[in-house]
Amino acid sequence: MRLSTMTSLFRENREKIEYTSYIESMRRCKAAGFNVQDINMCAMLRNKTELNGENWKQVADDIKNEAEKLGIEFSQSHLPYRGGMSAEFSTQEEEDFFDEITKRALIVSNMLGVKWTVVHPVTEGILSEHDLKANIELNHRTFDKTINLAMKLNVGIAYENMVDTQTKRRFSATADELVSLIDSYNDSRIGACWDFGHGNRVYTDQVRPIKLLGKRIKALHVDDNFGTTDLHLLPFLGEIKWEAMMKTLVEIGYQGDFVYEIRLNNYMPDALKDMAARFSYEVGLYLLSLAK
Amino acid sequence: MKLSTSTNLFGKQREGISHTPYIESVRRCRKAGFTTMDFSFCEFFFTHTELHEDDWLYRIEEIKNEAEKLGITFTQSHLPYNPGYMPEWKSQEQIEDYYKFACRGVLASSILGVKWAVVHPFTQCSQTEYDDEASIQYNQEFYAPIVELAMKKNVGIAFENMIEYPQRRKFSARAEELAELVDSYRDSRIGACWDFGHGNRMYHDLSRPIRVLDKRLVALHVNDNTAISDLHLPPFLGTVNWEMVMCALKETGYAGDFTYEIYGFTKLMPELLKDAAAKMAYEIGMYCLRLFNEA
Repeated sequence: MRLSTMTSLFRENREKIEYTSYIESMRRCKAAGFNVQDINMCAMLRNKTELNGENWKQVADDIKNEAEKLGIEFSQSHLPYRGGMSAEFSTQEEEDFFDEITKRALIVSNMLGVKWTVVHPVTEGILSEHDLKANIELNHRTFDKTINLAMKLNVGIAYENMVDTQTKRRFSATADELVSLIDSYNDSRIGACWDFGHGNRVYTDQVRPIKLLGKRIKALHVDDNFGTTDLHLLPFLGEIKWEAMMKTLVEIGYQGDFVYEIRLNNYMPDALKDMAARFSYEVGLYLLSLAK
Repeated sequence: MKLSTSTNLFGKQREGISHTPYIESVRRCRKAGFTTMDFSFCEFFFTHTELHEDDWLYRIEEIKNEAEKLGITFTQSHLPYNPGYMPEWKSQEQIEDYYKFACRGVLASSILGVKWAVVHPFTQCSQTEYDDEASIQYNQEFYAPIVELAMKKNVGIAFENMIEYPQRRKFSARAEELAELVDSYRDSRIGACWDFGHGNRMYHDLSRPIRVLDKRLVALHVNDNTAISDLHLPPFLGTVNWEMVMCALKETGYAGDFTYEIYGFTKLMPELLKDAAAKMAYEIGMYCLRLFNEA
């Protein structure tokens, strides 16, 4: 297990609305110590990243070349996802756009050598409700096209555990549901991504779901909170029992990386971001030391 | 304006210990860069410290000597508080203990050379509700022995803005209410402490309450959050607009210190990581001071 971070650690800017470019983000993550990274393409949904342009393949090549030069390995990625739990689109245009950015993100993942890309399961609320079989069928219908392309490109798909809303249950918030979804594919290239922050909002003790998912866990989203809102804090700034988490990852024989999905720098002035990233790296190394 | 931190930066421990000895906290804060500090007596109400015992005077002298040796000045303190809207007591003994330790906090503040000791206002909601005059009267009565002792010992008292959660308004969450309370004393030794984290739940623009309080503002509790819960994180880990805040402090001629109350940053952190966290907090604070100086 290696320490990794999403490129989004440097994406948001206090001083301007524009995002930091992928190349600058990965350089600064590398300078903080991160040799392994997750290319987070979620912001493609807002049509504001350099991968949204016509020259996206050239941009991806530039990212790949820079990664090789810097000695960065991309082992995980995050595909764009839409807010909310529904699989429905308001317009055909919206659906076409989402299909296009999903396809691009898969091709970019393949170009960068990503092993596992993460998607958010959807919840059936139209044909039926709280119906396991219907939820699994909906996710197959929704992601079949994505999965087919991912398989051709040799990129594994990891379904992420979600969080219930204030008033409605969300499919795959529990590990049992996620297990049912993954096992329905009967394909070792389909696995789970465990988001500890989401897990902390659903479980009193996350050891249980992690053990239940076991070898199905191929990817991690590492972040902390107090069990109420999705703060995406650095570990130890929230209440997650990281000592137990690390021990459990060892116990299940987790083979993937320890990937930060933290908002430590989202409100930080640019002048302080590198220092904060270095501190997050130190915290991560401490966590890895608990897994020995 | 100097960068300062509460001793509670190293207060709690992940490993289950709820109080790090004050001398150790002082040494570790100094090592992180801080030369100005706020002494937290809040622990009196929530846990057991070395200042609970009969030899507290000896202990406080020890802390004073260590601070002098390390070049640390204590400019602020935080007296123990009862966390309810109105004080909630389990027994007569608890009331007596509260006043005993609050007065001890004042005496210790005086020994350490503290200028301003912070207290939490209450909200009168048992005899009447949403009645500012009644709340002011209640606070004056509740704090009378503490204020009297503080004045004798040359320690100013700063009333802090409270955090307000949905469904029940809390007196002093709004700057105008705090100003009314402070003004009711007609004494320059009674002022206001502004907690930015508490304020972030109440205000979209935190420069407004700073301007309302103006010269009444004599102490700060610097911390950040996302305007939902009281996270007590360092600046820039939440949504407070520090650029606007520092400008407003400069404009109003704020003459106190920039005092961290960021125990949320370290309270659940392993001991091995806390010193690095404190150094990061120090660097962030120095950045904030540059904003103030350049405003």
